[in-house]
Amino acid sequence: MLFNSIDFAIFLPIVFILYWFVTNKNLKLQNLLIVVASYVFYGWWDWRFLSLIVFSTIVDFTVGRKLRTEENQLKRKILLWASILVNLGFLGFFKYYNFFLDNFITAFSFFGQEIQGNSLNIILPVGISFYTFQTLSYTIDVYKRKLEPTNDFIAFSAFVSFFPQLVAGPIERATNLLPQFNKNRTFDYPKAVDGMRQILWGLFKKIVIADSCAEFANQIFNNSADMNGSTLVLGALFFTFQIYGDFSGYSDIAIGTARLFGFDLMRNFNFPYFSRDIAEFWRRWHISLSTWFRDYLYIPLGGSRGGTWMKVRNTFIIFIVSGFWHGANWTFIVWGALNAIYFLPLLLTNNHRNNLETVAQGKLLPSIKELLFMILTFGLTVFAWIFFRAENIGNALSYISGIFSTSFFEIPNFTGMLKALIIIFLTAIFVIVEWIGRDNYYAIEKLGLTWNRTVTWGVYFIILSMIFIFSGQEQQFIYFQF
Amino acid sequence: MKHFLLKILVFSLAFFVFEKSFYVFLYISPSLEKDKRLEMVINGNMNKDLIILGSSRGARNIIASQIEDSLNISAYNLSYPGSNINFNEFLLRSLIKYNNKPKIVLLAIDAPSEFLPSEIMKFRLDRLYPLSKYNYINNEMIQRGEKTFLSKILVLARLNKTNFDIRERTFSALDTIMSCGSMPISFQRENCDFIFENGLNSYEFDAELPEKVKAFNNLQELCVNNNIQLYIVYSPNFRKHNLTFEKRIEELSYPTVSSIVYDTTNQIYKNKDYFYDKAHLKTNGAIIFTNEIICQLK
Repeated sequence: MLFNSIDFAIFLPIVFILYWFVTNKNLKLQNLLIVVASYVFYGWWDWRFLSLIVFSTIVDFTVGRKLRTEENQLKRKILLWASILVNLGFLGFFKYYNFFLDNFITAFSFFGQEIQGNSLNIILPVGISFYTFQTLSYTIDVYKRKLEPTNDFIAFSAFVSFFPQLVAGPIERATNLLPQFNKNRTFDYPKAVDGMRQILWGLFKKIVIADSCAEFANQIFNNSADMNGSTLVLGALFFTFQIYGDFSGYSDIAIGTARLFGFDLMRNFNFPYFSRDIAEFWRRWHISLSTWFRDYLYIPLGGSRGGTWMKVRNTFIIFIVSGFWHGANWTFIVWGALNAIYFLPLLLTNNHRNNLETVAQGKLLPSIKELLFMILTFGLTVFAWIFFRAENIGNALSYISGIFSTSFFEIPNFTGMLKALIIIFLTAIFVIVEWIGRDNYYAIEKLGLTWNRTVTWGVYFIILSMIFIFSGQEQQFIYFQF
Repeated sequence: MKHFLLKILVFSLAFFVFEKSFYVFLYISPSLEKDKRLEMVINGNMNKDLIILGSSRGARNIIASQIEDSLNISAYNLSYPGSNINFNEFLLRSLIKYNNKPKIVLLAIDAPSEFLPSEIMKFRLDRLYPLSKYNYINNEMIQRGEKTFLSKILVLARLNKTNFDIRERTFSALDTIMSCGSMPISFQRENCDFIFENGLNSYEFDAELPEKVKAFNNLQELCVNNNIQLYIVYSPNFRKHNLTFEKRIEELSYPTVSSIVYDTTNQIYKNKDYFYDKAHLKTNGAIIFTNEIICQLK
């Protein structure tokens, strides 16, 4: 079920009413309702793949319980690896089987060995990369004795399948989300209103910004060979705002929806395009994934504690794995490696934690220096997105060579220029609103709180009207494919 | 909780009232259009003896007024460039619903791509958007998944971005419509490589889209049920006539359906001076081809 679908618009109020009016007296019943609702939400797309979620849930719940009683370190390790193998096994098969097969065949043929292999027509279960990492975090934390394993199977199932964040995150930690299922939840009016506001902003980002930018990004990327350099730059910019609006919009809707049910999910985006260096960007972009890799991969590998070589190795590993997590394509690996290259100079010169606070905090405008660093970081990010969006490395390289040609100085030219100008204007307004609200949890968190209600509602009406006007056929969220 | 639900309810009601102000865009949209043909259909102003359906090949290659003058019957060209068989089926369905039934329908078929996947030939939703104030059109868009049932309640859910473009539409040289609905072109496309293709006589049966074949069958069904004589018209291309495709159409055609194939021996159709591009005739070619149709209809 898509957040921007009519199905979800019907589903959400039904679950909300049942949750607060029918099951509100009994925590177990409330959790059970969340499990059932989550399975309906997921099964709406393809009920067959529910079995994967159920299986992962059973495996990790069982492993968690066994880890509590098991004192033998070797057996504990075996249990941990059993969970990791099951979870990553599913992920590997559904997401990476064909990629590895094709690349093995190519590698062997490069050395003159012709081998046969049949690619399988595998459907990628929606959200598998997200819930796999979420459930893995539980087992690893229990193994490290950072978390007490739960005995409540319903609560654990609800944690694994919690519908607001099941298919595209934020990737929650068991330490944050699981305890919330064990606490009585009472309706919190300000939290619910805030949740609604965040949902509204998320829908605006997705439908008005992301889907509109997608129309032109797709047109330009799909016909890049026929476009001049300036148009290609515009295409990359459209994609830059598409992916931000799409993914951060989804996260806003997910977090807002969870708030309606009394849950606090972790923040996933913190105005990343206002970052002054790449290290700051990665502290602000897809935070739940970056911190997951930091805690469960980078730190266990030694983090930045070792010598220069260790730092370089670990940085490349974490960025390349992060890229590969996004998809079974060399473009994602190059995208990850490129970000590692951006990041390394900051790490090696110990400048990777320079910009921890919000840019130009308490000021209306940034300083010239801040502005220049923001533009530089944004430019590097846009460049890297070209690899992320391209069908293959060849396409990405020809796209880039198209940019760095004499046609860069020509006027952009593609179908629907006037419409594109409207979208550029809207995106510019969106950036201004985000800039003004950059100190908040999300851009419109405090917008109009002190205003007259009529004015505030007027602003909400305008946002809602634009959502309706810009919505056509429901568009998939990009991150569903990961 | 009750306060929250009450606030949501009041907000929704206020929004419900507010959004009705957007009706003005729905209201003015049809009047901004130059091509009024579809609106004429759903307003019951398309009462003709002969109707021409098809894509640009129907629009440019067949001149309805010429048929009207020669056969002394009323004729109108309802062909839309870039439209597919599904759109033509919708047009005929709408025509029959709101108008006197035509006696004859000429379907200008796109040989050999009529049932194949195409990025160019589409269900022309862009022709429906300006008319979304009509419930009939809105229901069609709901059925096609373009709108949700909310569009029955909310004006904003019925509107499309294009409804906010309040500039007067203009005709380009390519889409000027005659009073009879035809869209002939009097000039030749620049940089068109006019090399007559003798080409292959093959047809990709496996690539056919079932929904297009179904639409073709539905269109025939409509004709049979309403006593309309359907003619499948093959118009000239700057390439060899595809007999395999013609055979395929014969296979799919109901017994009552007739075919009109252009005179493949006529050397004019190998002369680029009669063509706008490889798929469309110029006005001089269209006049000759329309005459051929007239002879067959007599």
